[in-house]
Amino acid sequence: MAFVPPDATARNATGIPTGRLGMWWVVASEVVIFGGLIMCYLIHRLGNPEWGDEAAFTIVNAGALNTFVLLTSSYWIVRAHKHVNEGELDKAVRDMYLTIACAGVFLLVKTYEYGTEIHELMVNYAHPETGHIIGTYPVFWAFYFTATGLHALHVIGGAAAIYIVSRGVKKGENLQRVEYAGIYWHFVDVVWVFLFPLFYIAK
Amino acid sequence: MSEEHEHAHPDYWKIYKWLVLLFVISYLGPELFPEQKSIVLLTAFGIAVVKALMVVSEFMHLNVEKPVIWYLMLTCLILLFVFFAGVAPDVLNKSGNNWVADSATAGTYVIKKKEPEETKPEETKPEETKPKTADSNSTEPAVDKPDPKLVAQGKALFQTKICFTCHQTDPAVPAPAGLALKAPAFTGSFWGKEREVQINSDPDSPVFKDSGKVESVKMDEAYFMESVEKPNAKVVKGAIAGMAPLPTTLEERKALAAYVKSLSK
Repeated sequence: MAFVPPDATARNATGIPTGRLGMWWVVASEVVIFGGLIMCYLIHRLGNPEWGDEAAFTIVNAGALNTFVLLTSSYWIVRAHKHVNEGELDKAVRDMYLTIACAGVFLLVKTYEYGTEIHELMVNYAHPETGHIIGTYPVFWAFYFTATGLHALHVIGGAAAIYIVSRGVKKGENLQRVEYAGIYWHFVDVVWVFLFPLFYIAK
Repeated sequence: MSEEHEHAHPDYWKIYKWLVLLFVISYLGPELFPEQKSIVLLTAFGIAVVKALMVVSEFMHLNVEKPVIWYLMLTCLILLFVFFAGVAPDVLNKSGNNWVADSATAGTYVIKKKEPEETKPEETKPEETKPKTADSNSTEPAVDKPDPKLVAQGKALFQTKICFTCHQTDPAVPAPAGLALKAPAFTGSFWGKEREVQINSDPDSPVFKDSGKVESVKMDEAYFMESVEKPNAKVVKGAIAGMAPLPTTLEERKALAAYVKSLSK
């Protein structure tokens, strides 16, 4: 029997195209991965108010810029979906490239943040006002690097997926994938919407 | 394309403008009123929830999606809250049946059994304990001559109980972790000298809460052993209260005291 690739556009018992249902399952498992991590952090954060002194070292402006960048990227990818539906494939591809560009900016800002934070952790930088020394509560930083690092990996993966989808769109193939990639990308945005106040704002 | 689109596209630009506005508020709220916890939490987390719901419903089209997806997402979220409710009480409590998380202040959770530690070692190793130092610490003049065996034992304990990571003993070799906490170094002439200490408002708590009181104490065996047992009861002025109370027996504390005393010039 010849191999028949699974049909992402056929409908199953739920009435949802298989590809989209599959993407929702991916998102559901991601909710538990990031949600579990965030819940663990919340529990420990509530038990250790002094971690706020460590959170004072995260760069709020960089985090805010990244929140804005991801929100904008979410706008571009949903526009790509709209343009695909309207048959304007060129515009859709352009919007997808803009999304990938936003992902690049996000990762550059993140790289700058990591570099600064790791440097400060290595030299035991003291906060000018409180005198608190960075790294006194290392578990905070373990959570910070795990959560934001895992998120950054999702940004890289999402950008790669969007690029692959955009190549299909150029040829007019697998246009339904734009929406599926978008669902994933919006989820990555939503995770950051929560990581930002948790690690940057709450001090 | 075989997929039909069962929804009309909303005005994404308008939704995006709302999202950016909410983002600006969530950023400015904590910046403008950093002292007001309720405003910080409401603007930061309340708006995060609103933003997330907007993205999920408008951009991910959950508002026009089949209800089964809602059930899927809600199940995941409910499971997360079950997880939180089940785990949080254990983690947030600092003590429970037969356990105390007494190094929680250092950010690490070393769980220590409450045990009547004073009695056991003296029964098992009576030959090593000098009878005259067994019960009190007021025998200072009698132990003036260091017992080499005790000093050697203390030196080994200084390594195994990881004292050396913070407390410098060699003037030429700094203790890296100690620099950050400004931990007192055991170099030069220090034994028998007076030092200023900050007093914990609750001397029995493993967590240091500054009472504002500063006292002068003599660096002697009694003070040293108290500080090993309850590091945060009296914290040297200028140092950060970050020492974890590592479990030690009375005999081990005596050995440590003998070793540290031998370091003083």
